[in-house]
Amino acid sequence: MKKNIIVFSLLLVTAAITFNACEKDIPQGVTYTAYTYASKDEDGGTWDPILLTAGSEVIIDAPADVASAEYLAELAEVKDLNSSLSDDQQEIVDYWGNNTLVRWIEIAEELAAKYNLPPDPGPEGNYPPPVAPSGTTPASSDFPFSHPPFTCRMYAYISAAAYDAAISSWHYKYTYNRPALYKTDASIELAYPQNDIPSYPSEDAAIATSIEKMLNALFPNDVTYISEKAKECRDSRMWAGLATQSDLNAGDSIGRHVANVYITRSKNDNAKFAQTNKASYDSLVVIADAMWNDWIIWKNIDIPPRPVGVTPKFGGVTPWWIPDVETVRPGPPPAQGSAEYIAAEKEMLDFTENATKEQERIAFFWSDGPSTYTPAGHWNLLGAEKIVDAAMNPLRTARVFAYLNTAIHDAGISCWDTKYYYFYPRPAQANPEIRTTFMSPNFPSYTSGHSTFSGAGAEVLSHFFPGSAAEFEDFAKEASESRIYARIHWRFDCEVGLDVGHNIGDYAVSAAAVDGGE
Amino acid sequence: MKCKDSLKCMENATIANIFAAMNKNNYLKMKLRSILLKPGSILFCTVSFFFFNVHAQTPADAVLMQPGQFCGAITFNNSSASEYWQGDSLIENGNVGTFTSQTIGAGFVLGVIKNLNVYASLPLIMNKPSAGFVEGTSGIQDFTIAAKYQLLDKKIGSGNLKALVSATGTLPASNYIPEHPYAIGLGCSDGIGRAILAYKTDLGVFAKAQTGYHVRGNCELARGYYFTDEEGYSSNIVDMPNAIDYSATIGYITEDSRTFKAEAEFSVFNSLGGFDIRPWDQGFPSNEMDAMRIGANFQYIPEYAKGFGLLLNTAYTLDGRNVWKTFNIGGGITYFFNIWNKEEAASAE
Repeated sequence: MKKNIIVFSLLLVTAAITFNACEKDIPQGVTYTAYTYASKDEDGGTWDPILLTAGSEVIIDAPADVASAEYLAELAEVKDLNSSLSDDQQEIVDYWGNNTLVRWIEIAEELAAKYNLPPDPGPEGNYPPPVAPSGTTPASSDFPFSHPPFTCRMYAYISAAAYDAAISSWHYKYTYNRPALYKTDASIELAYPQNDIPSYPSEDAAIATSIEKMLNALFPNDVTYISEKAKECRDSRMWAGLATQSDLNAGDSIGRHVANVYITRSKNDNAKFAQTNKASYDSLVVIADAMWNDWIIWKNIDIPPRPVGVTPKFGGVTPWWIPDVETVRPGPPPAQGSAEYIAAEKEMLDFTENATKEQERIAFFWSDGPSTYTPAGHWNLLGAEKIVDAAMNPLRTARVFAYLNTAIHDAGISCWDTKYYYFYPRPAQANPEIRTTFMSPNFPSYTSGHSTFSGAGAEVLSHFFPGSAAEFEDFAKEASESRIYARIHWRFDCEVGLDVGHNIGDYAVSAAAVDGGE
Repeated sequence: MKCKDSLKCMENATIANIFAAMNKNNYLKMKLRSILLKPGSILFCTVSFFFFNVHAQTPADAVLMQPGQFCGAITFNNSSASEYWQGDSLIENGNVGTFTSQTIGAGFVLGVIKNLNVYASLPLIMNKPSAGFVEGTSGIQDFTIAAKYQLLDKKIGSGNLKALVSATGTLPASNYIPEHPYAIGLGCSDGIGRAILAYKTDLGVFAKAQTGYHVRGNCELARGYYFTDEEGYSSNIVDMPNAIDYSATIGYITEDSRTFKAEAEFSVFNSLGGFDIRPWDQGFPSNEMDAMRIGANFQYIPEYAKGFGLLLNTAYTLDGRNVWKTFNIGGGITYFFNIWNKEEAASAE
């Protein structure tokens, strides 16, 4: 018996050493509980939208009077729903919270991660054609390939559309001044803290519908999922006691109008030409080869090699803020064999041999490669945390994401223009002694996308959250240097990219400074 | 829930698992379009099986050391593969070529009291691809401790029936990066409860069946966002699927249970959850990793060697899911002596 006790104790000790903690739920997004907004921004409807001419561009009729039978019936409907929520409905109300755009950004990040998978060569070693033959619909599993250029553009469209939808909502909220439901009927149990903002139209519905339509256009193989999410978001407003059906309908009208404006732009912004076919790509290679004698031009080093780089003509996409890519294009990278090049090459070889564990961790922390939300997504997550910390209302939230993502988009087109203008080789291509922590992406080296995106991201977020400017600067620098630690970029790719990114971010900040929302 | 289960299963587990767990679970993963192996495990597990055979064995076998007996071992294992299963499709990846994982392991087993052995081990792993530009990686992997207890040793017919249980715990022993394309481990703790049943005839022929249940802790990534299946997580914490393993072994062991042993083994490892590697994507720690393997183990302790013994083992992966199709071969040197109970041990033999 005594022996058994000894044995049992030993086993328990073993168990205890192994399992020191029970598992907790792993967060899938920013963790926040619904909050009181730091401001109401009664004049928000007068701010300058990004694409709409003004918040009043969409025509929204005056709502029924709060004393009307029609409105009382709507209120009764909300009370009925609101007082008998199922557990699932309560969970949905809690999930969306009272800043739904934060969740939409996360949904977009998840879609980006899902589709961010470079095409697979298959058993024959033949990659699929980079551009689907006209008249065919690409298979769902690999369309669209949500690489960093695609993804930064996607975030820009949904967040700029959300901002315009929010401005338009604010315009009519403070034009018609239909009071928040809880003010008309004190028996409504609002699921969130009271924010005394007029309920008509519902800004959440306007945002949900504008993003739903935009995402459906960008991810045509996931329209069912996206539309379910949008319906859930709108329905949850009634469950939460936040909006009536007419509030939602008016918001939905705004969302539809805004989405049409944005989808029309997206069809004409040249993005459809960004990914070239093989023949067109080969002609770009010939031009680059003739133009640059100071370096061996870039080629893909995967095995088997990918025949076409990612979006060689993304630089031709219409910018949001910069006048054109040529204006912000940096000068050429160093010639191979120059002193600067030799120093950069030596650094690559040094990190190949002697990168510290901490440097490798930084490389992986910022890797943001396949199956992730890309660097732009990383900056959205950083922004979302600050937004909820600052208790921003939906309009201010949309404003931050709109400028952040349009700036990051312009950083993307500028960087891609630079990449395919100079066609500079990746370190491991130039010197096969160089080893990397993960695979070199399928586009030229100079400048670094991470660095350019991060410079722009830090510039914009520092404008909106000046108290955190040093932190954003540190993040941007670390994101930039992570590519050196990973040995997939030369130091000059990163340093120049970071500077250009800051410069581009400044264009967006200059626009924000005069949009009325400062 | 999981914690509760883990404790429950730990009641049965023993040290031997250390090895077994490491090996089987992990060990092949693919990452970054290349595959990642947490190869140590695969290799090691095979090794481990024989590692302690001579005197005391592993948490997964039916051999016990007497109180005071100590067996230390240094093992080496080489595992290589040029194909892996992406989901259930067996493919090659030109960016990896042939993946090789080498393990040097150090460990010991000690007889504590009658019917109870304890084990500990620590492997050093070196992984590298033959092609592509992604660096290999190396380092100390996971520390394992285990305890094994014999519940039953009964004469039945012209042989003995034995029943044992063991509890094993493993923990990462260095801060290796689990999402490295060639990571050396899964970056999570593992607790294994194991039950072993064996019958050995008086002539030395034996048959053994054993099974283990693995309760795995969370894996911690370097990065703060990841996507599995259909869901994104804004965290560096990965919920790892639990797993089971089972094996059947037949073999021959000389009568004193230590001079010579040869056995053939069929083993299966199954993750209880996880997801498939997406096309040409790199592997992820919480992929569903399954493997079916066959192997053979030998150990020899020459009379003249003054306590030293030799181990040799090999294994081949017949089928799998999200693991490398490995072939491994390993060996080791063991050294046996009595720390206490010297006379008693001698007389027992």
